[in-house]
Amino acid sequence: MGGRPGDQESVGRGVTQGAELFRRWFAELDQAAERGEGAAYVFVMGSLGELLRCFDFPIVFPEINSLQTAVRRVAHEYLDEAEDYGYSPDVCAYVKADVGLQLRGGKHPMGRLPRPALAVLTNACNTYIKWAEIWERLYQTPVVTIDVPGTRYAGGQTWPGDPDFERDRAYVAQQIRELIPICERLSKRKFDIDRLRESMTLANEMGQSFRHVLELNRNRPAPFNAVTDGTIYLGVANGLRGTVDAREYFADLVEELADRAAEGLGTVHEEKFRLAFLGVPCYPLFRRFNEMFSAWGGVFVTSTYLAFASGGAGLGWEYNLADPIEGLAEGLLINVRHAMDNMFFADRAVELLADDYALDGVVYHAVKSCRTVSTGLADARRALSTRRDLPGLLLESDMMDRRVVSEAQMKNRIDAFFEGLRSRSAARV
Amino acid sequence: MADGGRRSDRGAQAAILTAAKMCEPGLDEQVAYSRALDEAGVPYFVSEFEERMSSFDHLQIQLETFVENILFD
Repeated sequence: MGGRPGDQESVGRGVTQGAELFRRWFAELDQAAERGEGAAYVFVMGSLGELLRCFDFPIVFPEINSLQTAVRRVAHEYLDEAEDYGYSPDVCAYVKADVGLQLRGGKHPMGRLPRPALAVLTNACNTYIKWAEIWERLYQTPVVTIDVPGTRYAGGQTWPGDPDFERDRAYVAQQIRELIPICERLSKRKFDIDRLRESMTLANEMGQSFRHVLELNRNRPAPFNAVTDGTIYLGVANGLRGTVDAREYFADLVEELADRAAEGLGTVHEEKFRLAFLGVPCYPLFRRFNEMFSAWGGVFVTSTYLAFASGGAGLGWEYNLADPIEGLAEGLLINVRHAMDNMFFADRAVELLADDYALDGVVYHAVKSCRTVSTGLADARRALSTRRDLPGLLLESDMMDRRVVSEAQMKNRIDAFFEGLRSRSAARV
Repeated sequence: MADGGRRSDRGAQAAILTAAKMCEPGLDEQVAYSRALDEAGVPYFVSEFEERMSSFDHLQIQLETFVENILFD
């Protein structure tokens, strides 16, 4: 993608530039579909976008396509189509929206999407594996699943130099080496290691800015909303990772948010309660969900979503460029492990954030569509409450399916949560 | 598909597809199985069950209807 969106006012630039980059990305996918070209289908947890760009594959993120249908309030049409085809109401709604999309020949609210010519996935989510099997059946798509070893127990991560880590890295590196000739065969392009190094350099530079963005929200008031604005940032960090556009976008975003922080500009009139968000957002009520919090002066200053869905961009870690394949393997291992840890050990993840972000409370958003993210949230809340005096609100709704989202019920619980936070603040004065 | 081969090897005239509602991989595969059985023209019965299911009357009626359909088809 060449060039950057035109000059704009600094305030709000991150949102408008992000939307513009998205429109361009989907326009390119639409053109690829029109030409009858296939795309590489990948997922946010371990996309390997840096490698796939070396073969000029158009890159499709089905999770992003699906959530877009919910934000644009047409998800039910896709879900109904997949359920008519035979899918149960109890399976991942991202999967069903994608099935609906494939049954419509790739027709999406943002343009037509190319069919999958290759699917590359990791074991970060068990549903990824079953999801790719659907494309295998529909299109005979070659599927490559990279098995990434996870953390063996809470707090048990190993790091470079440790024999366990080195064994894990060698295991992942070998799988990447096996993936490369498959990409060469399908794309009819020779692998260029310098191109990979360049893409990884751009990802490193983007990651530096992404981390700076996250740190800026430690300011009071926080300059961005981790759920609403954060979702746009995540879209760019995933979809355009390893490109000049993504690097420039986040460099500009740092500038914008630093200005906002220096001017004391927050996201609400008066920031009263600083909150962490755990889980996947409520996309069917995306703006309204946030308003139920902002009406009380509640602001999402951080989220585990920004960690597990950022492709590792939020970690204080960078690719080693001396040996790109080993560096990519190390990155994939650390990033996917970090993503899984944020889902499986959510209480520890939020505990690390509590002081840095001066949290007043934690919102746990369990969604019917995603057992992987949601199953442990009630336990995480209970576990954290035994270690920290940090109020928590557990909500249950969905990320896609409006049939299981009850706005009135959520609002009652949110209002009660803020009443409690307000009483607590008053008692402390 | 593996189950299709097994069905024809053993001469099965019908199939029962059932998955626990909490088991997403099982629910996903129901679709693949039912599509393959559709293509093969084999009658099948699809059901989902809860982990703590205690009432089976409805399931019994559905199964009896399925069996009668096969018997009298």
